[in-house]
Amino acid sequence: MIRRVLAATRLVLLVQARGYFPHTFALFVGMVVGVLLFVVPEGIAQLILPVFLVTEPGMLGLMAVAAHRYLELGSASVSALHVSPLRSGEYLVALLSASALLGTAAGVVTFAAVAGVDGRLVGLTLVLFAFAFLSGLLGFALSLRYPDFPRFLLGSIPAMVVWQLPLLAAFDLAPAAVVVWLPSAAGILALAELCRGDLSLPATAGWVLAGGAWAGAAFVLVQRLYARRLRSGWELA
Amino acid sequence: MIVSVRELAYRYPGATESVLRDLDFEIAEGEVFGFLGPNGSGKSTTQKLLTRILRGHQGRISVFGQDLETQGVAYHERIGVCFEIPNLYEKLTARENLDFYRRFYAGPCDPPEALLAELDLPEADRRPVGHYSKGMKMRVVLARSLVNRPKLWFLDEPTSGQDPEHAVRIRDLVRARADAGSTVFLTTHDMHLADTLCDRVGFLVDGRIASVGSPRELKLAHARRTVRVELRRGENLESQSFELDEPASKAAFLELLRSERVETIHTQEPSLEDVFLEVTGRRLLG
Repeated sequence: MIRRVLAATRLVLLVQARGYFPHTFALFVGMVVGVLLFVVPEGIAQLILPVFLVTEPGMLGLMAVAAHRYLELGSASVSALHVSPLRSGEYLVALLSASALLGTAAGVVTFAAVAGVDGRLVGLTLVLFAFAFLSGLLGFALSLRYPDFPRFLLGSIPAMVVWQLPLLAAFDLAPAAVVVWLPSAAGILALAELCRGDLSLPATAGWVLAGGAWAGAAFVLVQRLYARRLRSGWELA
Repeated sequence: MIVSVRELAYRYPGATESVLRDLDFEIAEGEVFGFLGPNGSGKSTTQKLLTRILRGHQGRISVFGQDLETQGVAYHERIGVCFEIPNLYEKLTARENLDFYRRFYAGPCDPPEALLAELDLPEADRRPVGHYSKGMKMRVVLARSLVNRPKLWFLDEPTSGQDPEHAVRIRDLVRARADAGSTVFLTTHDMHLADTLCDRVGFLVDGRIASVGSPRELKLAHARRTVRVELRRGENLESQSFELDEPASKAAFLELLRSERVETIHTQEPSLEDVFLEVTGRRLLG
């Protein structure tokens, strides 16, 4: 199983590289870092950094997963995967991991450029990856609802807004109790605390566990939805 | 039997009518079995059920002597599927498409270079397959379906988009693989391909098998023993047909051979297309 997941992850990464996915991420990171370093005053840059850390692995990752899925649906290449020994759950793990890797790399580079390199990077990487994986799951689940990427972009706006609501609590604009029930809350609040530099190792582990638990539960749900969709025959050539 | 299908029925979710109804057929090891039928007859649905793309059928499908429903990853280790469409990663080269695909298999695989060469695709070609012609893409799809040395090979219109030379090459490849022990499930509209390649064919119409047999058996069973003769009379070339099972017609034919200058004689077996039309009342195309 691990061999197949690794092979599929490499395949997804290569397809995304040829499809200029990393270039898109790099462009976005370059713009964000440029604005934070040269346009926004230094104190403000550190303050609003969590917004960009949520956007890069979260929103970009979510869109990368969906874009990859629509790319494969368009060429019907995904059909060939599903008549190979690769299971639908393994494919899902590979797709989400590859996109999460891109998002995590983007977040780490942004953080290092703005806040510097320190011990927080380890915790940050873990939290970013878990958050990106979970956001990718949302992107995948939403893409099951829409037949093409433009309709996905339009249709997923409300979900994206709700997904980022915990940022209000991160900036003390809303009580944490209001948003903590959202699956994205653990990741967003952890990223905000990491940026402020007051997240301890046990706290980081707690946030990662909470995010991981949400990701695990969501994965089982999305994988079932996807398997049901595959069995119906709509998905494949 | 490698494949045994009994009373197979399938209805797509939300559909009111079944696509397949009480389908029965068997395929022996090493056999090339042609599945022929007009568009919408249920050919692709049958193939999707056999390759486990679709689930939720009624009836029984047994493959490799085991109920299909109980088979896991090992089943896909043993089958190869050549799709009707060029469903490739267009930004990857042919070699990359095959190389990544074979990493999903635990069993022995053939090297992509050998498969590409066998199908007249230069392995040194560094272009992404998106730049290939349709015929080349389809040959890459065919090569991909062979990477795991499948015991059961599903082919959907394998000569689609090929020039005559490559169509013959593909036909010979399929025959060679079948002779080496692979079982082939061929779905096609191409009656000539079915006639020259298949050991047996099944005619599928409206989700049911209308007739099964070898192309020769089917043609003989529906043949009228008729000969058509062209003879030269002065400057004119005339033709006449004779029914060999009618004594008077047969006698006239023999008399003609003795007395006239015969240019050509042709027996009048029906083509597989004619047999299909007679059995099903439908044309294969359209």
